[in-house]
Amino acid sequence: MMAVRSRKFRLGDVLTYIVLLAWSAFVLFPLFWIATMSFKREIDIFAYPPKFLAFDWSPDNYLDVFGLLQDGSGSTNFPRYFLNSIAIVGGALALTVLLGTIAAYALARLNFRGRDAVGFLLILIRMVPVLTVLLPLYVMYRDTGLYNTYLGLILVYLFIGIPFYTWLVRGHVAAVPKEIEEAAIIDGCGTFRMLFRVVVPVMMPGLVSAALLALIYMWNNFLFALILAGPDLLPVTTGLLNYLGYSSDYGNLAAACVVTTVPVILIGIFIQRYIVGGLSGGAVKG
Amino acid sequence: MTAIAPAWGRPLSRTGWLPYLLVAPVVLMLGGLLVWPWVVGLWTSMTSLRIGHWGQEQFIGLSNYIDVLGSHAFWQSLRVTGLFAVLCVASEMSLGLGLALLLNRKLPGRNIFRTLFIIPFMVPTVVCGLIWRQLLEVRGVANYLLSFIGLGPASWLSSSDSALASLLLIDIWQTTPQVVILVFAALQIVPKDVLEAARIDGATAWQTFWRVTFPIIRPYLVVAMLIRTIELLQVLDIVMVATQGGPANATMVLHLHAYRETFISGFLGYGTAVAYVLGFIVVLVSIAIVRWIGGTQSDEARA
Repeated sequence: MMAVRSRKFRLGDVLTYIVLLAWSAFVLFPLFWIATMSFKREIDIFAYPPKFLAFDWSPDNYLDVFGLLQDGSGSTNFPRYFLNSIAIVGGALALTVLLGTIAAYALARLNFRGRDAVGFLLILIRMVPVLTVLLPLYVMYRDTGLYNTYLGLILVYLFIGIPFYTWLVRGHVAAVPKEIEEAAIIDGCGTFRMLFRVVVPVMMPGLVSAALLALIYMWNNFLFALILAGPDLLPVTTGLLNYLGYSSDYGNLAAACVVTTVPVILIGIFIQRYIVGGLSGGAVKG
Repeated sequence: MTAIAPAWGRPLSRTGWLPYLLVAPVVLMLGGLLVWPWVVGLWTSMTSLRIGHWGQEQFIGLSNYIDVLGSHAFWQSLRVTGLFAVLCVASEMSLGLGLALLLNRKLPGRNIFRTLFIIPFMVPTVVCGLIWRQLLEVRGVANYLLSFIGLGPASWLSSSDSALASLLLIDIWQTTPQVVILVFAALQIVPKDVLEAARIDGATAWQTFWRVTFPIIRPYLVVAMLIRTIELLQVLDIVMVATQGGPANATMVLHLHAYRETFISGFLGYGTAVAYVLGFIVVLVSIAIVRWIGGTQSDEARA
């Protein structure tokens, strides 16, 4: 953006680096702070002036969060919440991938009455405040016995995963050359076999990234479980929210935050090239 | 609505029951978890249902809606929501565009910056809120750093003067990455030879951006803005974590107002009516953005 175009000295480049570094600092500092806090003892957490690196590093918060500290507070249900998250998100993700893939295929390739209505519904979900359905869901869950069950939570997490995943994968299916399918059909493949043996392998990178992006959204949600589950079945995000309400053990909280966040950050970096399609809900990469 | 829907892939000519079988699970799921609850919710919003009085509700027509529109709290929340959405969209769009343009300069190390910049988007909102509450404490590190330039200390999140601005800062931290990613992707489809031609013809960087780059990436900017606006009008989670709508309702956004009326105060019918009004507003604003600022599709948009 700078008019200076001399080869030896580019003022624009220097300014660019300054801005990029400043933004990096803004992005990274909060993460640095929670990460170092998770290794601090209480006295260092409340120290003022704050201690940046020169404090007594200790793994106690992590041990305590996982209940491994002998005389720790040990009252956190963190391991349980973490496993709940894995169970709920894992189950919902498996169903999302299975049901979403075949629906996406039908939406992209097959002509049928009502197809546009289904597509419209998938987009509409993004525009609707969750509070319009949260209370009815709660009542429905109470009446049907789905309240405070893994099955109930998995079903409601499909709500986050399926529209988003189906929409993205529909775009990936559309990008697969039709000749491949036609060849498979001529060779006598049925639709399901053709879908899973021929189409799915071709769009595997797109499938994996859509699934992982759905995973991030599901992992980070806390609202559904807040209303639809009891204390034992909370996922880790809702657990942290509740924990926040009554605990002042900031060291443990920081350690729990780090353990909760690191997996999703790693996944996000792994799929960063594909995130763009996901963010736009398929509206950009069609 | 149709404007943001991309063209469907040209279907193979196949008919019969097969497509219905394939979409049936998803449709049943959406029907059971979404459409049916909507119908129930719409009904609930027209009843006097209150917590602890299950089964005693009466149909009261549009009374709840009339009460909502006559309530001071509703208009106050709407004002907070509108202000917050406008501030966030404006700052995130301009910061996102600026950062994406800088990342798009072919400088060494830009991939590292790109990776760093998207990290906050992955951080769970609960964690994000916790971190910033720590940073912005009265005796927190933000106030410590500000003391070097002679500012503060202030209780950023718990003073009604600065709570909304602090939320703005947090939202900028967490969601500017979305805009950066979208705009950066858009910049990759600007044809290099056109940029080169403009440069040879003596166009300044400023002219090149407004005459060449901007028209091409415009549909992407509209999509990014649309997404952010829709999300911000119904913002709930970060406010729940960071301020709970306080202090003194200074950050009470409409969606949180609906949540509190429903699940905290127990006015189930009334709270659901608030949520429906919010949904109506989101749809209206989305249509307005698409109509006024322009379509989201162009030939270049099919990257």
